[in-house]
Amino acid sequence: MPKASWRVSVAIFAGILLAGCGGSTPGGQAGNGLPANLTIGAPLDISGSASVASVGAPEQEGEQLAVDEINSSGFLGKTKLTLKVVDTQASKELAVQTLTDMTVRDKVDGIVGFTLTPSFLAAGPLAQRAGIPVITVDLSGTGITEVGDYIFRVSPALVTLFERSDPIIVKALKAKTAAYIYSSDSSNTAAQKDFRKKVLEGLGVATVAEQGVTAAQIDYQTQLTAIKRANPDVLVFDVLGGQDATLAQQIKQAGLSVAQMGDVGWNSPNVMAVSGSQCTIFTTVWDPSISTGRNPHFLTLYQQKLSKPPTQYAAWGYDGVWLYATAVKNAGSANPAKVRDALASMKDFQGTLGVYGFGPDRAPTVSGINLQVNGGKAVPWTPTSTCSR
Amino acid sequence: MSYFAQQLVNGIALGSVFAVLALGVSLVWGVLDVLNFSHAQFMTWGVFGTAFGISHGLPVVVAIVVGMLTGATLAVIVEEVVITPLKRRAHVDASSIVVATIGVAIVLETVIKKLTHSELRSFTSEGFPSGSIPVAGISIGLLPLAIFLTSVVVMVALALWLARTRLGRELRTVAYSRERAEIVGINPRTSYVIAFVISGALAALAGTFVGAETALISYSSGDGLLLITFAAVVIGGMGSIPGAVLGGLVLGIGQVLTAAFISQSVSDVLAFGLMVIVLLVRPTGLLRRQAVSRA
Amino acid sequence: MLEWFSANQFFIDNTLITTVLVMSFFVALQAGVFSLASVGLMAVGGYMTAVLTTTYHVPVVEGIFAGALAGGVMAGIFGLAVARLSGIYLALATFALGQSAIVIIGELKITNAQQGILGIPVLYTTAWTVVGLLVAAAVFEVIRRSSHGRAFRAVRVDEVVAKSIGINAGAYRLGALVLSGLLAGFAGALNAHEIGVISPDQYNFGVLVLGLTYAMVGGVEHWAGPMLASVALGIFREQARGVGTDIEDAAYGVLLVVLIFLAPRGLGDRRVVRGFARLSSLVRSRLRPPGSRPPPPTPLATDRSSNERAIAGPSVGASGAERKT
Repeated sequence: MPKASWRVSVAIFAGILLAGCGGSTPGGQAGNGLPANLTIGAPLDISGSASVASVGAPEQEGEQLAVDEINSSGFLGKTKLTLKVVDTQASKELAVQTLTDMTVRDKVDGIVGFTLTPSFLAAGPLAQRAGIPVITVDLSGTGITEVGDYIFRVSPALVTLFERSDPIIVKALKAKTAAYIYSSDSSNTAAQKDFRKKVLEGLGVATVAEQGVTAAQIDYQTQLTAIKRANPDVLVFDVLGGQDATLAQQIKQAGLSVAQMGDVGWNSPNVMAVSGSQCTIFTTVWDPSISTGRNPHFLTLYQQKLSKPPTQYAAWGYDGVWLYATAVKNAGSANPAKVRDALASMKDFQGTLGVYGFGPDRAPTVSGINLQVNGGKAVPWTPTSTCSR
Repeated sequence: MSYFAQQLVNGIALGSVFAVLALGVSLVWGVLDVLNFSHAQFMTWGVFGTAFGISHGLPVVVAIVVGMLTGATLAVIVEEVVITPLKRRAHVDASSIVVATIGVAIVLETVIKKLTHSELRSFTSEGFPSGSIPVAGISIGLLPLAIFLTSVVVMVALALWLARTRLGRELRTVAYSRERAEIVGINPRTSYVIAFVISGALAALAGTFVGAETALISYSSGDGLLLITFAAVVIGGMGSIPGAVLGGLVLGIGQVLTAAFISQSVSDVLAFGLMVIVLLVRPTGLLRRQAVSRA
Repeated sequence: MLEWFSANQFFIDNTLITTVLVMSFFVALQAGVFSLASVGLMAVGGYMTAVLTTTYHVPVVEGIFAGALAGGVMAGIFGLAVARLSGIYLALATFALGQSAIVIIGELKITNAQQGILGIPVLYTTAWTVVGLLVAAAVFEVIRRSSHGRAFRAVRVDEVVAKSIGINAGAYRLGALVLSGLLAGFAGALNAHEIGVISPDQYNFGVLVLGLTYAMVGGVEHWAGPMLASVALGIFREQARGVGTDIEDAAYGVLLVVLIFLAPRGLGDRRVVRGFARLSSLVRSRLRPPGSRPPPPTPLATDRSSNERAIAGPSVGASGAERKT
């Protein structure tokens, strides 16, 4: 290697190494059994493709809103919360590295975050081993809290909701045959589709078509044409968030007119703005119409501070931080084991999802609400609701 | 039979979007020998330009022109600031320029991401054709039909322009051989700029098609399409205009028919598989007659 | 300082594994094979060890060897397929083959399709990667100084001329690709045991961009270039990441363009070297007290074409300013 650039490179290398050393964490007490400062680590995916960033960014906003509110209201007395957000860029390696940094170097007191399931599955075990309580925000698949007893989730496994609501919806629609369209390149959605299919088949609803789509597709006419040919009574969706709007748009184009059962991604202004989404019924855990718990207050506060209406991701982020703070207050201590126990025994928590606690599986005790898209908005649905297309 | 015909129609509709994208890439490759990885950004910035126009009350067609101007302007900037200066230097080969265009793509995507706050935005379907008409047992969507017809018009216009106008002929001469073009007094720089202008405008147009079809736009809208575009260009023949169209259509129809009649899995691999087969059997693509040596 | 190492253990591990991937790109590039298959080959290696160590309970070390081997074998198959291609066509073909491998992996039952594999034994030690890199460096240096090294350079610079002087260009290109596959498979296998989970979505275009650009910045002249580039750029990005992902991305994009302008052939580029030499002698001459200035530096050697210099290697004087009078 030519000498000159060798020396320069080594010099730069050494310089950066030295710069990387260092860093310290503040200490001190706040006088109420709690330290003066508590740090919440928030590993979120805020970059990569827009369908990921558009989930991670609102989560960050919701969490920050909660942190600011807790600090300014003195909910934890003199103790202040700091939110340490790290963008894990949809990369498993960065997720693991971030968790290592958070648990070993920064020694955070709690973790509220995770946008993508693969990153969580890679990094979550580290937090469990380090004994730091983790509250996952938007992960909607199964196998999350099974990672360990320090893992809690704000969004329940969607299949637990569908198990209850799908039979009711299908009966009200009087459907005898069903077609399924699902994202085949994501394990969550594929598993979800299988689950819903089993539930419906158990009720005697025959499967006439199953079409998988991938994230890279811009045109779903192939799958929609096949579904149209099968002539189902109802079309069940299990796709990734960025695809619902496109599907809704192209359904009309395909000349497909059928009852539609959506998934949680339909609760988004982007989707409801498309005329093809009219009359779709779906189940979710958060909606602006929830009037219990802290939701009305959250809606006002969010609109006030951020000048736009909140999304479900922001609501989950907000609740995640408040759950942690409430557990700390209940436990009277920031000791991770005590906070974990306080979380596990949480009851009657005033959240944006309503009033709830954690069940034995460390998932929220919410049963979901059924909504229908009508006139570009989501309105509560019951078996006697009517809708015209 | 009508199911097959319906899927064929779907394939042609998809293929025409790929074709318009492939045209821009193929043109730049033919004239400048550059495989432009920032092409997807012309598409994204272009569709945001259209959205901007629509949200400010412009009629859809005018907004699309605004979008195309955005794409073209961005393309010229990239060409003047990065591409042409690099081409002038010695020791810069195709792979170095590829890396430079990757750098440009990263910067452009980050900028538009910041400008749009990482949002997934709704792209309105108002003012665009919607619904479908039944024709001989097949349902033809009006939007895909409009896209297909626009693509055909664009391709024919481009072909005529290349064949009949002075600038068009100059472009083709430069694509054939830069040295020989200079000998007959053509300034290749003009051709470079024009190639990029057209490339940027076409990318923006394709971006608008995709936005209208998917009802969503975001800073990452173009990412997934870049590789398919390269596949279409390779299959049809790099640097060949009819080749780009053929490549786009082959891929569009191929993807749809394999997904409908074989499986989605095969369809996913199709673009890459066809690319490999074409490269191995006929590297210059389906339509290029011979590998033109760059003197 | 030591605590810094243990606190940043993961970052170091990750950077080293990335370096292995970068070397995979390098070894193909230095033979003139513009291969973009490395990410696909990385997936092959990673999945090979993942499946072996989870389903078949093979020990980790053997799994890693198998992963590297799988990468090499697959690369050999690719190499035979693309034997007649070069330049951008070769790049696209190798890219397509690599991507096809990833897509196919994502469809198979044995690899658990899109869900990926969990619970891979996380029995990773930094030592393995370090040893691997040292072995690779030793192999590269030995090759570089030997007739094989000159043959590789000849094939890279001008394949037709190389063939005309009797070098079996096809064999060397294939060999380079196989080595590239071994390294990529090795990187994938190490990565699998470092993180413990594997799924097709992690082998995305971003990884390709990373490996390719680091390798091109490092240059093809000397194996130390990409190694240094990988470490330096990895550190640069990590520091920039602390400021914000968008700044990190934009800074990296700008850096790439600037580096291509300044050193199109990468860090080992002779023009970069000469530029440094000129700069440092200029600085030195300015620092001398006035009146004792040495004569201005002689124009640098141009009596050999750059092709010849490239083939003959660095033994002809690093700065080229030494001329026998």
